[in-house]
Amino acid sequence: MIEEDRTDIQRAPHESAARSTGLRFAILFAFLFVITLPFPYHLLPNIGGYLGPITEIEARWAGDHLLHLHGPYTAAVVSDSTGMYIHVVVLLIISAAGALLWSAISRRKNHASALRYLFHAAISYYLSLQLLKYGFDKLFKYQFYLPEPNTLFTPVGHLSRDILYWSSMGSSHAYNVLAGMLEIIPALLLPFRRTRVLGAIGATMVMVHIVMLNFGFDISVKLYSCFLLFLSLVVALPGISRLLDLLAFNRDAAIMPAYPAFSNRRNILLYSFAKALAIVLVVAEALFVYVRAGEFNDDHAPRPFLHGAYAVETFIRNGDTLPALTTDSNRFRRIFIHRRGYFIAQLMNDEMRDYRLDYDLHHDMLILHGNDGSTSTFDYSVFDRDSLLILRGIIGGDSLAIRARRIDLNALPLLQRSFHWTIDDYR
Amino acid sequence: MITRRNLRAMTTSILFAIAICSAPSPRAFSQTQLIAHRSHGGAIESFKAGREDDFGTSPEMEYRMSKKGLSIGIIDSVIRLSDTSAIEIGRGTMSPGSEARGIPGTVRDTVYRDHYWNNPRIPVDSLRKLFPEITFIGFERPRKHADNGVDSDRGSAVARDDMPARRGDGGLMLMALCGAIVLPALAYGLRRS
Repeated sequence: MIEEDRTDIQRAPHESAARSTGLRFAILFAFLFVITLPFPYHLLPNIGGYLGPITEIEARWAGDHLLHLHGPYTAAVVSDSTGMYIHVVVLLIISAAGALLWSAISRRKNHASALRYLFHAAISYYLSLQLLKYGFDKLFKYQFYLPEPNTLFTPVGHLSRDILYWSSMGSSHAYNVLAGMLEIIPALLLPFRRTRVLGAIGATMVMVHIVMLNFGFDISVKLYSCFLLFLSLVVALPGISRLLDLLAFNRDAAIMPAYPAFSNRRNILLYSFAKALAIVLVVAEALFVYVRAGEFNDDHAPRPFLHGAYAVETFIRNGDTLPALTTDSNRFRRIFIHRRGYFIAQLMNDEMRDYRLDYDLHHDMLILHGNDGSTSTFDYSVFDRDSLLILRGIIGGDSLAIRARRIDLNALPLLQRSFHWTIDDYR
Repeated sequence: MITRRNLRAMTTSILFAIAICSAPSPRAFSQTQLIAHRSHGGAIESFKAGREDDFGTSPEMEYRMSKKGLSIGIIDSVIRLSDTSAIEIGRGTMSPGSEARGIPGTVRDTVYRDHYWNNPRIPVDSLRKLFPEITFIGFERPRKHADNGVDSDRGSAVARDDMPARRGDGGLMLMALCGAIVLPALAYGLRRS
């Protein structure tokens, strides 16, 4: 009875002081990073969001007084901002100091293995949540959405690498499903002890690929993807060393201790219940937005009124009809309505001008807000039968009358759903 | 070393965390801010980083999840005409993905097979909780659904396939998925004990 009360988990071999301190450093850094990162959760509390003003002040102070940064910079902790890099350095310093202090005051020398188990378990659930979120985002086509009409008509050479990659991915539903499954499968293996290391090895492979993409295509999620890779490696390393023993060094792989090994029924039940709840929470958080929205394929999600691309056939400015000359940097060549509420005009020289768009359906008006704070209004008329859009209004002091015809985006080569087994099928 | 007392503390912490997690939190969504900006042809000179980011996850959730952003801006009331149609009455302008800027005037929009207003799986009480600022008219009467697929409100035959499309089935799917996880986990725990 006494034994049952005292030890519910197997004891592990004694660990060196350096390893224990390293473990404490990793625990503190991971905990502080996760808790201060303003990640948009749906069910879980966004603690990082609430702490945002504090972390911003901290990053601003460190940037101004310690690093003496000159010029404007983003101090808020958002994806790959200067503030986020500063914040991570501050966390590293705090974690190192905290780990040394923890080791100095800790009297219990034999709890490192249990601590390591709890750490691995905690970051496995966190990794699982993140992989599920990003995996379902791909599976349901939310992350890499169909390219917007203005992107479809931007010359490839004018696109930056990140939006080009985003658009390429968005054009293939099948690849999104595959990429999503490659993230979901390790995520489902991670919460369970028996499959945790296997899941972590899979997650490491996925994260290496994502980090390479983010660096290779200059996508601004570099720091966060590196953090997820770090977490994957922490959980996967024991498995990787065992694999190397087996496959590379031709020796027996060590048997990993199984934690926790509970010895009574009550504890096993409690453990199972807590684990089940944690898993349900992770899955519910990852799936919440899709269930709430009722959309499981973003390609078919409703688009806002007038969404699409329009070829300008007639462009009248201040009473003069302007011919479609490629040298004219004032005439509109195409008009686009973006799904996030933007009116975009493509000029004859391919330059894009974007305006924030509001609809006044009651008065059949489009309200355009320029980046310079100006506001313009267009009366619109839509003739569905002829796919025509007529706009009349004043923009930049010029009176404009525009007749534009809707472009069938589904006819574009990029959005064709065709698949060819052989090169002859292309004919 | 994990003792029974530590385990209890751990379980209590998890339950407490779950309780906290059930509280709603304010949020906004987009893809990475830079990609969102470039997506609408925004020049890098006009890029201003905001305080909210989502690290490359789903875009446009705020108006995807908000009925108000999908049609006519601020909806004041909804009149249910039949099982398949409803009238939204509101004011202001529609601004997808952004705060609606209201101007005086009433806007009406007739919607058909709407995910919320014409979904027999969502009772009016749930709609009132989801959209507390909206007045629901004509939702109280019992909905008549004959087994033969006839919409008796309109007195015309409506094929079941025409009823609100697969949307809304996700809740059932989520419950089934959660059950499929919880039950085997409990069973496994019991078997181990």
